[in-house]
Amino acid sequence: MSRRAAAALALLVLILAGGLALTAPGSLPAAELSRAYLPPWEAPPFGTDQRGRPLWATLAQGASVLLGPSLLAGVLVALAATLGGLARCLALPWLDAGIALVGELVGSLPRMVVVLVAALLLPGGARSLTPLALVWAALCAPGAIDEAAAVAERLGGARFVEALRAHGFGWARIFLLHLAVRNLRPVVVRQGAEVTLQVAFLEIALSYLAQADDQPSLTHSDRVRSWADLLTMGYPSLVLDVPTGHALALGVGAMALLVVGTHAAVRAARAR
Amino acid sequence: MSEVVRARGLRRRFEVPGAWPWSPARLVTALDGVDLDVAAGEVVALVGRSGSGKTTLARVLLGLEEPDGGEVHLERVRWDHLPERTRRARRPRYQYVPQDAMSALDPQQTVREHVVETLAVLAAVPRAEQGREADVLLGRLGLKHRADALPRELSGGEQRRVTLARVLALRPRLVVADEPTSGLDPDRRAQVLGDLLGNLEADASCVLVTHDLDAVEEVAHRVIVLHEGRVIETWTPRAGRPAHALTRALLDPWQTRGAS
Amino acid sequence: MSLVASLRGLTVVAGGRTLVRGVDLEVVAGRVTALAGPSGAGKSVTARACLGVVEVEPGVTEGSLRFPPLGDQDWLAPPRAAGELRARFAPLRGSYLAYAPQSAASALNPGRTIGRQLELAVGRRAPAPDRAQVVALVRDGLAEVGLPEEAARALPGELSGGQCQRAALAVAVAAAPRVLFADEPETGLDPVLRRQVVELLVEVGRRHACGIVLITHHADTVARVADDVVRLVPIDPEAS
Repeated sequence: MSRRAAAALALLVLILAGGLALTAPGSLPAAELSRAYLPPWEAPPFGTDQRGRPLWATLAQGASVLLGPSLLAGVLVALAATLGGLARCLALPWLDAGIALVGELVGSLPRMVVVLVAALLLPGGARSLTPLALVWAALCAPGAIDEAAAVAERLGGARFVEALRAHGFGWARIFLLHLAVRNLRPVVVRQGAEVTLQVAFLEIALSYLAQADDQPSLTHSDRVRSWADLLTMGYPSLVLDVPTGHALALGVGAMALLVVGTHAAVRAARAR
Repeated sequence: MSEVVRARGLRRRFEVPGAWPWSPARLVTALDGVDLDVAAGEVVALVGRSGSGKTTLARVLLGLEEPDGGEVHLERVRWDHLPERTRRARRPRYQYVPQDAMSALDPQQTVREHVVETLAVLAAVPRAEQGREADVLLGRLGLKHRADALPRELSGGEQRRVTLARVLALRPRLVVADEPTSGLDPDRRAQVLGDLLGNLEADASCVLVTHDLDAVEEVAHRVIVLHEGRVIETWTPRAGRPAHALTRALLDPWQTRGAS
Repeated sequence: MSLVASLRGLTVVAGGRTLVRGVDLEVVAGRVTALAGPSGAGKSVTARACLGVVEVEPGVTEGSLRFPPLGDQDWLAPPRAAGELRARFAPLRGSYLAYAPQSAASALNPGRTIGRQLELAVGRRAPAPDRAQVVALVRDGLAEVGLPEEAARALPGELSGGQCQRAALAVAVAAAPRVLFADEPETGLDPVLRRQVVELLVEVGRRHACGIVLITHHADTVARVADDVVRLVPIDPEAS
């Protein structure tokens, strides 16, 4: 797939998901029990849930819950990785040592445990994915910085910068264009996309676990639902004879769309 | 004949850390009072053993390192300790060809794009002319057929020639080349020197840092021999054999040419 | 005149390209054979083939290699698959055959001290030496290449370029090889050091009655040092 096509696909997915998130209703639509469990062909576009509410509302609300924070985490990690890669080219031993030290400390923490602790420490009223996404991003940043720094080293690091400076180019051109945009771009986008996907799946997993335990969700208020609800609803159709297969398909399809989108973004940003 | 480079009393020392974290750092004297003049149109070779200070001298001349003592004047303008902002505007006139050619190339740019970038950004060549001038340069250096290759697809010699193309595109007044012939076979060495010197402007000067005297003997007007940070001999190849034993050893380590 | 290796008609092919064709090489104990030629001529390929190391497909297509002191068999006889050759030559590498690669850094294990690497190399001698002999051999090995005793405790990263070359040479001859391939040992050294390293190589080789194959592209070294010369020319002049 050419880089242009991949970029177009990634953009398309982003617009779709963004559109869904923006049009999500603020709270659950009214229940109509007579229309429960309707399949998509009877209640377009996606059918209804156990209370007769349209599934697209759940889809849209789920998107609104996870899209923003996931993208935020991805962007922050990409930014950190870029800065880390650029820092390596400055060849300041104290800076390299400082980054390495912080990286080792943070990198040795067990991520899931820290995130769960953070989730439990949140005050009850402020339940949202954003703080968890930020914590996750902070935990993943050192690894991303390491990878970007390795790319910078292979490039020649400070020698590369010095050669271009000796030639007559300015700092901005060297650091922003040659280093960041041309050479760090592939690794930085890949790291950011990974984190985006991880945070999205983190949200789904946490919500699913909360559902299974009959607890209120850690990542969103009770007025909205997440994609985990589609899975909770749809999963029994695999083992029991309940007509909720369309919910499962929708949930899995939404997750697949995210994967396709992030993968397309990585392909679009790849090196020559 | 105007002078392009005038350096007086250059001193440079740096600390080399000890083998262990608690070992004291050693103070290494790279340059110990070096004077150097280069006139317009002159080719000067800086030779010496590894660690003699020749690379440090070359870098100090261009301002890539600051001397601890002494002065450097390029085209009668004081160059050392000048803020980089001020130096940047004049850098295209004084170019550097690093020993490691690959480190100066952007792996994500083709050969042609490298040259076009230099022409566009540093030589203020109008867009319509950029492609044509780039092709002319690439043709002169035998890179026409590799114009769309990325650096990783090039051989070591070709990478060096791309760096040369960029440097020559700026028609500099001074080129400092650090070991341009290292790692090459005897026949290729002459070719690289020919590529460099044959394409310089008539009044441009060149400082060649090398420990391979054999290669530069033909092309250098003067050979400056460094040892432990000091100039021990200035030899003019046309005028006869070198006086100092070290120079003779660098020139002909196995004495295959017989004593003078 | 004691012939220690005899190569006839070596042809190595990589994909569709012939790297070397019909190369003959004879190595005599105590003498230096220079393997000369420009880059791309196939010098390293030839040397590696004599060690059973073939990194290309289909690899060795023709050639015979005999080591007279070991008998009359042809060590390059078919089957000539890369894995097959590598396994066949394994007992010879490091004991009968020694190789000092171009970059001394790749000859030495960066994580082990020089002394330890010498001990391991010395241990490959036949008959295997006992503990006291190993210590003596290591000490002598270092002295022979002009390294001080403290070097035994140093890691390769702590040595200068010239010292690394000497250490790599010590490791290469520690197992008392009969054939030593020195792959461009002069690379990256200034002319004075070049001569020192090559002279040391020749002296050590003569003392151990080892046949040396010196790969080089320096004409003056060939003129001064080589007893015999095998000159290779590239098959494809456009290469490199």
